[in-house]
Amino acid sequence: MAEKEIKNERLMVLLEVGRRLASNMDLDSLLELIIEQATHVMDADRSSLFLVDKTTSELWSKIAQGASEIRFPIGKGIAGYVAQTGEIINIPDAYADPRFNPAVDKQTGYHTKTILCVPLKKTDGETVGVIQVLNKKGTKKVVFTNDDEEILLALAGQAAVAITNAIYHREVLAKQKMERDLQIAKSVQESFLPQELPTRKGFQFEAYYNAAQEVGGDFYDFIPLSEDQLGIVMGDVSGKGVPAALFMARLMSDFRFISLTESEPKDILTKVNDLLSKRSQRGMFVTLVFVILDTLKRRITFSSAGHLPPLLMHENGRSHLLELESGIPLGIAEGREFSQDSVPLEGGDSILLYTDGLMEARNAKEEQFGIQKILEAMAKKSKSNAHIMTKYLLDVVNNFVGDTPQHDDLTFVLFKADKSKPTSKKDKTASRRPGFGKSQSIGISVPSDPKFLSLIRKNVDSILGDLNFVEADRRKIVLAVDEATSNVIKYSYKGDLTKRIDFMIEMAGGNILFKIRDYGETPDVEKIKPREIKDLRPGGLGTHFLREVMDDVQYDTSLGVGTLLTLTKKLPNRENKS
Amino acid sequence: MKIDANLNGAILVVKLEGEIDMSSSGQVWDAVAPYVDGKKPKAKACVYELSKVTYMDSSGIATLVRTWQTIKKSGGKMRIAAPSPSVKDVFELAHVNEIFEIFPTIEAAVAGL
Repeated sequence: MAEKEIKNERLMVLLEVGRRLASNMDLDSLLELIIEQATHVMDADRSSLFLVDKTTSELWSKIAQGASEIRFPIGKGIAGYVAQTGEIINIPDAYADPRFNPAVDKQTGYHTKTILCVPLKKTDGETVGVIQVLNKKGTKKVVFTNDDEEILLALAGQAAVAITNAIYHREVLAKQKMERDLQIAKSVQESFLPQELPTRKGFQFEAYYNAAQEVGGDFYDFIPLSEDQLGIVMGDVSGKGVPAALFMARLMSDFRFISLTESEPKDILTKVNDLLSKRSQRGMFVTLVFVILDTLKRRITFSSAGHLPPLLMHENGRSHLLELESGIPLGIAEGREFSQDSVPLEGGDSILLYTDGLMEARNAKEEQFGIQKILEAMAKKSKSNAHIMTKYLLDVVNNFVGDTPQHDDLTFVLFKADKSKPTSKKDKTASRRPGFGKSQSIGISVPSDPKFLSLIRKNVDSILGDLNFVEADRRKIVLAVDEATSNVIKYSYKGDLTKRIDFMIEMAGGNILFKIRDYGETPDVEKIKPREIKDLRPGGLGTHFLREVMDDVQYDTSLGVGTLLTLTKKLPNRENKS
Repeated sequence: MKIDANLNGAILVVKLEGEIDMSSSGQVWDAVAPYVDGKKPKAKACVYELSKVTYMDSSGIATLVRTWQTIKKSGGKMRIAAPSPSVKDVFELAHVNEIFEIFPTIEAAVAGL
């Protein structure tokens, strides 16, 4: 074959290679393909490809001679020289050339004879890497020719474009994943923060939450404990994104459950801390302050786990930071004790709970807002109602920050005692603990993740125990609640683990009611009936259990979104009590 | 939940411990399937030892039924040994006590297989 024909044929091959390269968007397999094709087209023994890492001014390769990642500075060795200068290097006898480094041969046992090394240049002239082919094949002493140089350079040009596209593609995918994750984290967080403010006689409540771009771990919650007592949580989970949001969601249900059985803030923190520490996820922890507000006695009792102190503002503008011996953040070490303090509230007193996002809000000059400015803003409106105080504080922060992007979540809760004390007609004998006191209901929320089923079972079982259900009945009722919750996860939320399920456990007319509310797809009520028992698919079986165990099962789908399932069971007769 | 699956000859003994619910029942099938599923299953019989199961829901029942149906296809048998009170309750609710072979001890369940 004439030399020209050979060259033409190789150009045809090259065109084909170009097409294949252009259609490959996966960087790893693309690099392999380039190496394979270069070796083939050049009739060489082997090839290596190095990419430029602009951030470190290095060349790196994952697959040079099948070795693990290799890195060396641009400028070093033959490949480094080519990357730096953009020149072609064609060496007919490696060992006679001073630029050749025989150390690699010594290490690998390979014997390099001829080397052709060209830059991978994009059309704009930027060098994205270097390709190096070794040992032209042939029986006699063969070297890489000028034609070889041209062809490899052409291949390198195509490779450079394909690699740039693949890297871009990879970045786009990574970005899309990040945005999706962010969306999930946001929806988890938002669905778990309280949807409305509490209403209690003699007190006003305000809350503000604004997530930073990245979605931080700030959260707050109001937990109704009884007619007179309200639990208030303000916290900040370490870390950001999806793990922090899920951690927070779980923490919030832990608080709700544990405050059913413990009545002192310090004991609640001890128990929540033990739970979190046992679970210890990826070194995540949380700082928080837990306050129980007694609206009748006008007193707060609070405990802190490494969180900023609550701020007490009197109506006359004088203020105190309620410092107390703070425990360590929750989730770090088991078996820790926490201290607590109790402070009486006068008419017109307000309490501000906040996270470091408020303290550390920054302006363009990188100055922090700081506690002094918080105190000044609060003092200025200390005679106004909670809503105006909150709005003013927010205005002052926003003015201070200006156009500077928010770098952390900004979260706070403010509550204020009315000037006049409400007169209570309340039955003093009502207690706030199971069996339920006067209001006779408990509300809790959990994410739609099967991991929470065991937590729900444990707590339902302990409530049933307090109500003197016998063990066999307890087991069956727990099973029914578990099945109903599993069905919500499977059918209403289609296995999405980030949604929210609300539980309300009520006592009414000699019955205990389990109300399970979801916000997912509404099922066709006609179709929710137990299947024949021969048909052992789990969904139908679970529904069969509900009907078998409970005295009544009602689905309410008239709420606009989602379903409210009410399971009713008669309370045990008094004679059954031991 | 703890799963301990051991093949003794052609008998697969699966000891389960703890709570089996929607979050864990998938793992039971994953542990058992390699022995009972496929063209030539290694196990001709499967015995579930359930004395230490503190909780089981319908997804656990579904896993047992799946094992039972799979092993039956290749002519094998599934037996239940020493179900805990919780397991007995849910068996009764699901009426699977009418189809499963249930034995008071693991020895009794393995005997004659």
